[in-house]
Amino acid sequence: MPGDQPRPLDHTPSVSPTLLADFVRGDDQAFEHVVRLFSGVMYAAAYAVLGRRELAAEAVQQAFVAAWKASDTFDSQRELTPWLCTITRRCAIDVWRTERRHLDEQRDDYSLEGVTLTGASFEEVWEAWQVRDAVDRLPPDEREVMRLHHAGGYSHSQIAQVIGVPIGTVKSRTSRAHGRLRESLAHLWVGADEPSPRTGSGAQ
Amino acid sequence: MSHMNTPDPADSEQIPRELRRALTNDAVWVDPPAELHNNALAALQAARAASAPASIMPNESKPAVGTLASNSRYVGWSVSAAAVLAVVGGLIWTLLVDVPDSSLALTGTDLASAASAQVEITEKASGFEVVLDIDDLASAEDGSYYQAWFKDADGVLVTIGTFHARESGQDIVLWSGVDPAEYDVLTVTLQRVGGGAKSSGEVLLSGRLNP
Repeated sequence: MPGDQPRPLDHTPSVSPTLLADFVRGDDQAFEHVVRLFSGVMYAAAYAVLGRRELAAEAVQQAFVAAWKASDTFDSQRELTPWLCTITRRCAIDVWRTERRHLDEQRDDYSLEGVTLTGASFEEVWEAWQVRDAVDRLPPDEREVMRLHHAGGYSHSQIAQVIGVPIGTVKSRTSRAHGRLRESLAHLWVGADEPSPRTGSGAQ
Repeated sequence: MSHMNTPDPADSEQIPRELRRALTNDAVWVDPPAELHNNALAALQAARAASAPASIMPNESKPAVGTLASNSRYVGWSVSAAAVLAVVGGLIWTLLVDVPDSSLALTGTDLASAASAQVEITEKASGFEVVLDIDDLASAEDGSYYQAWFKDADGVLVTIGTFHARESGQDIVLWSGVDPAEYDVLTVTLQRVGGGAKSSGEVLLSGRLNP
């Protein structure tokens, strides 16, 4: 039924033309706004490259500085997010190189365990960025179910126990969240496999 | 997050395989550190402070005010050569005379009366390096961390970084984008993870440059 279809995620652009113009001009408040808007997804992108929290945080800081330095070269007719994603990935790789060099200097029998570059391509980092962004836009109750299910590996019945709601509620939240994510991220996997028709409805 | 078991395949069948795979990526779920936002802004401040052209502008005594990238574009402004020379000369004089390497002592407040610290401040190309050698301050417990601040005469706080001091004997190296000559009070507060970006007000260590 059409009424059962989840509402799509809010796709209102986060960066208004005014903000973008101020960003290019180097305005302080515009930068602070950009930091607030994008630090989460940039952290996800850096983590996708580095796989370590503290290094990812360092990469994000460097990325913001790099973005500031290059802001006057940014073409405001283009989208800001892929540009920031590119900078973030590049800074993450730089952080990894610096860390590896540091370990090289400190250890004779060094191993780079835990400091391995994931080798994430731009496409993979961009995917992590967009999925993270889409997940962050989910309503909190649906996001929590998604986190428990996909990151925690919990079944619906286990999630119901953990958060103290009926299993039907968990299933309906899962279904709505999947619907929103499927719709908002469909462009990422054009031609990818279609969902099984067996479970295409809302509440199960 | 604990991993209780593998999800029931039936739970995830309604979504494309690619989406299901993407949702298991740790990067999608990892939470940024609470201090990330503040540290990013501090890094920007430090970078701006290191932008020399910004400092030659009149009426720019506080680096925290103004625009970021535009500071590096002031070169093209129509300023008379004599004025530029005079201001640059003043800047050089200021750098040589007013901002030498400096040090200060921090003393523990009632919240950490046994704690103390020696602080060395060195101006570098990217900002002011602030090295804390802290004694008798317990490491921050899980769920909390320490945050250092510079404060000016008006009480304006600028964070210079966070730490947890969980490795004893290690100097804490922080960076400031603001000039300690103006922001001459240094404090260390106890912060709670998730407690927001503002100072908790729980000052553990405090000291003033050139008291």
